[in-house]
Amino acid sequence: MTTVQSWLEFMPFAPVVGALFGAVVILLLFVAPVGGILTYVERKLAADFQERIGPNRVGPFGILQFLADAIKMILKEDTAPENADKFIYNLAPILVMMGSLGAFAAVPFASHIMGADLDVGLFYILAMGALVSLGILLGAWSSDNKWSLLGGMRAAAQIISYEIPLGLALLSVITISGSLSLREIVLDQAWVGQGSFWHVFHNPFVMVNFVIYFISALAECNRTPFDLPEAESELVSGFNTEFSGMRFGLYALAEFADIILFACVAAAVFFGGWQLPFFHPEQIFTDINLMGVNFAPLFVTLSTLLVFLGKIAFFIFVVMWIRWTLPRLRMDQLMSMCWKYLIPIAFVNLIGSLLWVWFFRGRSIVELLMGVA
Amino acid sequence: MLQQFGNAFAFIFVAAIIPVLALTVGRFFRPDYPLSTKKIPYECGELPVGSAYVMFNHRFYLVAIIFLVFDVEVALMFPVMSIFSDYLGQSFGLKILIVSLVFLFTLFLGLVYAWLSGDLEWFMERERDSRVRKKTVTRGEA
Repeated sequence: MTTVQSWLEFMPFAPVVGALFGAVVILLLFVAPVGGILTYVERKLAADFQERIGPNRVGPFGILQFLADAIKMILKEDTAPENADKFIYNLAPILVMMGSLGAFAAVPFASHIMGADLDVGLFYILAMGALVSLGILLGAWSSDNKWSLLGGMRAAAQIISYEIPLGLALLSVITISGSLSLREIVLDQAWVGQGSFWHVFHNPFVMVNFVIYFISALAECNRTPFDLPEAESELVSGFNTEFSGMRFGLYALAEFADIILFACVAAAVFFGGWQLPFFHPEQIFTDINLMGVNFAPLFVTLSTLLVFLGKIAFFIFVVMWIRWTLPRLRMDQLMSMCWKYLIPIAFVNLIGSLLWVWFFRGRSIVELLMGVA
Repeated sequence: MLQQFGNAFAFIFVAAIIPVLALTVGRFFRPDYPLSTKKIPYECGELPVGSAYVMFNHRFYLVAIIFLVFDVEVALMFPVMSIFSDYLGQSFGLKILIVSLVFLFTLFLGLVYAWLSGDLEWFMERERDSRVRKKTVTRGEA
């Protein structure tokens, strides 16, 4: 939020106020409401896929359903099992939210909207993702319920296993961009007429690695076909069986925030972030003066934000589409899928990507076809 | 850069405040009628049998150990890969390439070893060892 910080410079403690303001704007005004609306979108899409009507009572087309759900969750009684470990039981939803919302700091939403331009951005996101699995495991273990224990163990095993192909798939992009900062990775993918393009189309190994990234991200978010931890038909919603009211709501919100996060990373790392080929907002909106104020930077930011949100929306739709299309895997299939297929393929792709970058001096397929020296 | 890490810390702080706030606000509105039956763990309407802290499949433990090795490897590769593209065509770049290829190949051998010794199979060979078969009765999950 560099622009906001420059407005706030006259205030005392401007950096602190600016940082908190940016965090509140991105988390409370973007991630939390969008996570809420996604619960509605998910139910409406499910209804469409199954030829039902879906929620249609609250507001036009039932679009205010998520507000009704939130009010209901606040009004529900908060109970805990008698033998639950109360301290960990109370801590777990907070840890999960910290992990999934805190990771949004490093996501570049538009050319000038970014929480924190960390030079270890991608690493930071992976580290915060580990906090989510810790919260899920602690909450499941502390609630003194057999379903929860089994669901929590499955969640932990699944999330840590799929972190390896996820990391390997991201590594192959880092060999190309040479930076861990998400802002620099996005800037690296600008179409400048020289053949530099989105990283997915850099070389065949990265294309395969995107598929591996997407599968692993589904498993990290506990989404179908990898929803064993909360398999509602066998484990009665698994790790959050004993969490009622708002605590359950926090878990649900964290799940949708995770989906948004992985869509953001997919868009930023593989699909060019806010960049589109042949679309240069800095050149279109050069000089828009209204009453002596230049609104060009505002228009640039808004148009890039729209591009990025469009890409996120597409990935989120695909995730929901998969949920209502595929059946659930079995535990042994889940593990062999990760260890026997994804990790070896990701290894080969990483080595292939390294060799490609070395032998073609970092040039992409498009650049080679266009004959860029 | 320190300012950027401060911004990231502000995000973590706000992310921790949001759930605390949501739970505290609800405290003023929600009913509170604790009954002893409400405090029983949910087991599909039946009274729970025994504690929930049951034994579970030790495969989870093995997976965690193998994961640890590979995750440290991924963490080690991140800084190496991020400087690789700066040294393309130089002798230091060739050194990075060879060292990382040897490193990745050694790790891959480790994966092959774990695979051959059966650590990646989720189902154990119960028939081979009768001791295991007796113990599987108390196991939480197959």
